[in-house]
Amino acid sequence: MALARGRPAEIDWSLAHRRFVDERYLLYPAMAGVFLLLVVFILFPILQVIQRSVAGPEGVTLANYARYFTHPRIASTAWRSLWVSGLSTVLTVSLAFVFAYALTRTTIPGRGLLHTLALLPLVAPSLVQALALIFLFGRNGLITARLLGADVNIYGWHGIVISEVFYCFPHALIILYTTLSAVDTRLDEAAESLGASGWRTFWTVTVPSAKYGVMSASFLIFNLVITDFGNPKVIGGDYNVLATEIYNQVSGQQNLAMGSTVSVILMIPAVLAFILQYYFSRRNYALISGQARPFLRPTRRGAARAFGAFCWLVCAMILLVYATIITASFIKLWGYDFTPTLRHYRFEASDGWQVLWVSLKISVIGGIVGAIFSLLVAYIVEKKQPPGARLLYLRAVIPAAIPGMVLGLAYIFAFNRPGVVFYGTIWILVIANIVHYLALGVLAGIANMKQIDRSLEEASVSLGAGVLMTFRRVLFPLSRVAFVSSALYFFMTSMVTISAVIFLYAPDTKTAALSVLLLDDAGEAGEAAAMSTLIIAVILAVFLLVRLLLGRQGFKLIRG
Amino acid sequence: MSKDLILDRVSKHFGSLWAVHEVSLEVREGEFVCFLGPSGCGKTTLLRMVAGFETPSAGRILHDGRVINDLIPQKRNFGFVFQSYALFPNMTVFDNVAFGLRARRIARARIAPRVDELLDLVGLRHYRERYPAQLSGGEQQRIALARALATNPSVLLLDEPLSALDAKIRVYLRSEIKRLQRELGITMIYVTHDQEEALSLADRIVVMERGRVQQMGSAAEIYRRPRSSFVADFVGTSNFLDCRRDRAEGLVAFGDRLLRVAQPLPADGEQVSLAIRPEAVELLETPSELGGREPRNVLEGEVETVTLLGAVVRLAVLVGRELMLVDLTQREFDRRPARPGDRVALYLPPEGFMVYPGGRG
Ligand SMILES: Nc1ncnc2c1ncn2[C@@H]1O[C@H](COP(=O)(O)OP(=O)(O)OP(=O)(O)O)[C@@H](O)[C@H]1O
Ligand SMILES: [Mg+2]
Repeated sequence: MALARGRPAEIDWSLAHRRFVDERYLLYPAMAGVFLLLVVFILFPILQVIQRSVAGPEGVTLANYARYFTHPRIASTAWRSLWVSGLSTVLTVSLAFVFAYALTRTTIPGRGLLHTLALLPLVAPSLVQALALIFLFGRNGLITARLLGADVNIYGWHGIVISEVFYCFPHALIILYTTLSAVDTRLDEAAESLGASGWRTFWTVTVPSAKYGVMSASFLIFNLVITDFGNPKVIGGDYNVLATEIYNQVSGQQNLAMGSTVSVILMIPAVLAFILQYYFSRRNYALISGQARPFLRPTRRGAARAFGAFCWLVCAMILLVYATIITASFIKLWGYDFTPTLRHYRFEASDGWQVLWVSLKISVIGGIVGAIFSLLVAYIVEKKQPPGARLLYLRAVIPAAIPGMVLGLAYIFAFNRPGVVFYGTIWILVIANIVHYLALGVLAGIANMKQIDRSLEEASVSLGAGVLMTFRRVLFPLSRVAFVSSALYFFMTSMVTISAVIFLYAPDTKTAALSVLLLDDAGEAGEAAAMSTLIIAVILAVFLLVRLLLGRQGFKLIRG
Repeated sequence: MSKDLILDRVSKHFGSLWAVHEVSLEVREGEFVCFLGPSGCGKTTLLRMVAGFETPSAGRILHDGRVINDLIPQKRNFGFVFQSYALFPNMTVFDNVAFGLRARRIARARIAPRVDELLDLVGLRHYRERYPAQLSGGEQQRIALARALATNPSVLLLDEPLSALDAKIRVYLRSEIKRLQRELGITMIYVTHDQEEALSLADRIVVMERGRVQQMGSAAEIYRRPRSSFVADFVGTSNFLDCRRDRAEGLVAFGDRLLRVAQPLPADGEQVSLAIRPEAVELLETPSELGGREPRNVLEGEVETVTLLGAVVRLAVLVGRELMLVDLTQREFDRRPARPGDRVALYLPPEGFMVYPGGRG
């Protein structure tokens, strides 16, 4: 036999003389580093906010809270936030449920296209919806003022609610689509075999089996709306909610103590909703995983028409929002002078190309660093499970519950001090974005790591590969899809986020999304629309590029 | 100096659970050892300690005269074959087999011939450029074997390598593994909970139960002289009879009857457990047809079921309230056919008993 043992004598099969990096020397410092980063960039800043809200001249005091609740105008912000969030949640989840049902349980034509169109709002900042509504229904709105000649005022809570529904629709759709894609066929068949009508089956089987998905979507939307700043700022008018009130207190009145107090009050429902969402999404996942896709019988004509009409109407509205923004960016003066122009893209009021460049830098860095960081955390938490991994996990996931406004304010307290060199640079914005959106990156990373069996790593190690080779040749290639997805996710959120960065930008680190807000505030609606268009175009272009480079399977939408 | 592998009172606990308890064992170079035991008995944990994936809580593992407790897996150069194959799904068959060679930074020109040599060894050279997902389970496991052997390991560790495969392939690959072991003269430790696999493969079997070694020995030793009722029960099939010690020498009381036993009884204890293999039980033509047999050891019963197990026929006979299994060769069965409901007489030869203290656990 040719394979006599030890034949090629000069090969060091045993690797006895090779020096290997001891995994622990990498793991423990990495873990300590991650811990330190999370303490410095999450725990410490948030504690600062809480501390500011209860600090008085003679130690701890609740005076700020007393002032909050006795001041009628400010106190009302809590109730307004709850009202707007509650209403938006009910509307969004109802619409998204019907839409998801049509996509997953009916045979209407064009479902793929409908699905893609419905996810479009993900690529725009949260104030674009409000901006478009104002173009359409505002004082000089195309539809209200021009076509109907009506004097409708879209500013206020109903304006916020409508924009939030647009903004949140895709987020709810993703959860409900996943939920309804899976089905306990036994239940459905049982109901059918008992002769239940479609309508009855819907109410007695479909809806109950999707209940965790609905709850999970509801709390997610509630959290998104109550922490949103862009839409209420643009279209709220005098209707102040908690998120805009933080801004008023901090930026308008320089009242940092009251800003902190409102922040803490905002954190309570936000964190609660997040915890509930997390709880229900786990229940939901446990319930739906492993279940079959429903077998679809052709939907009856009448029902198909109704569902088709509904879905195309929703998509038409979404497209209308985008079409409005894009159109507005190419005409002279919305409401008065509709001659085409490229004037707004010269950004005379805002140095827009520079701003876009800054945004691109922040988002690319944020995308790459965020993806690496979340992969690292996921690897440690899921694969290495050292003592303290659980705590690490909590640290990484919690910031998702913290409203962006609060995080921004917290960073002022924590880092606006001499010696903090990255304050006022793009780095503080990069960090804020990564921290703000870390949870989903880490969760996606963990889901990915769970799919990589432990034995693969062990096989590699027993074959003589060191930690680095194992990571480079085995773990990383198997995480590539997750890595790219999470990089794109961080990129996209960094491009569109407003709330976390509004307190943190310096004149030369203004981002594109912020610039939209500031332009709108300054009455430069045309340039605001142009900037929004550019943001959307850049995100879509990057998605397209990645897809071309990596092919169809190159990434999947996180949350999807 | 031969490269023996020595386990010296090796233990491992997870929290308060002792998965492996004071296991001592010497595996000689070129030996084929099976760890056999029921699920959860600690076989995998023991093997993983040998591989270096787990560190023993106590005890020493020595290889080639050196303690390797804390040696990282990379430096042991022990091949490991996983139940789940663990082929790298992102690499072709070629790259999988070449992985360990590349880890050793072997010159590119020497990698290809070596990989081909191994692929020939498992007969899958034509699958070089395929990805694992394009292979059947049996083929994947052969690639995994080739991959593990590529780096010329001094010991090959296999953790239930065949249990995910169907019966035919399992028997075939079993003989393949045995062939490889003989040809390469490599030391192998093979974990299984399948006694048939262990009996047909191993030079030596280590029977484990709840983290401890119950018995060690050749297949024949383990089968013929199981040292405990657990081993008698787990390896092969045994009928158990709960008996009491009798005053008379060489006799035990089974219910209201006395049975003669050839083996010496345990030193003390009132309860005695007898075990007898189904093939050791004889079926008598008539109760009176004794022909020099011990008359006490004849039991009468009623046939419950008759099962054809290939070469043997297994009868289940109800004796009192106990079900006794009796294996007959086809020839014996043809000579004396039995049908369910028949009353039959069984003879339990005194020298066919294995004797254990107490009622069984
Ligand atoms: N990492 C671990 N943490 C905690 N307990 C463990 C761990 N690994 C194994 N155990 C426990 O140790 C015991 C022995 O496990 P082991 O995997 O060695 O059993 P096994 O003999 O290989 O069983 P099987 O035939 O089912 O593979 C089991 O009770 C198991 O639950
Ligand atoms: Mg095992």
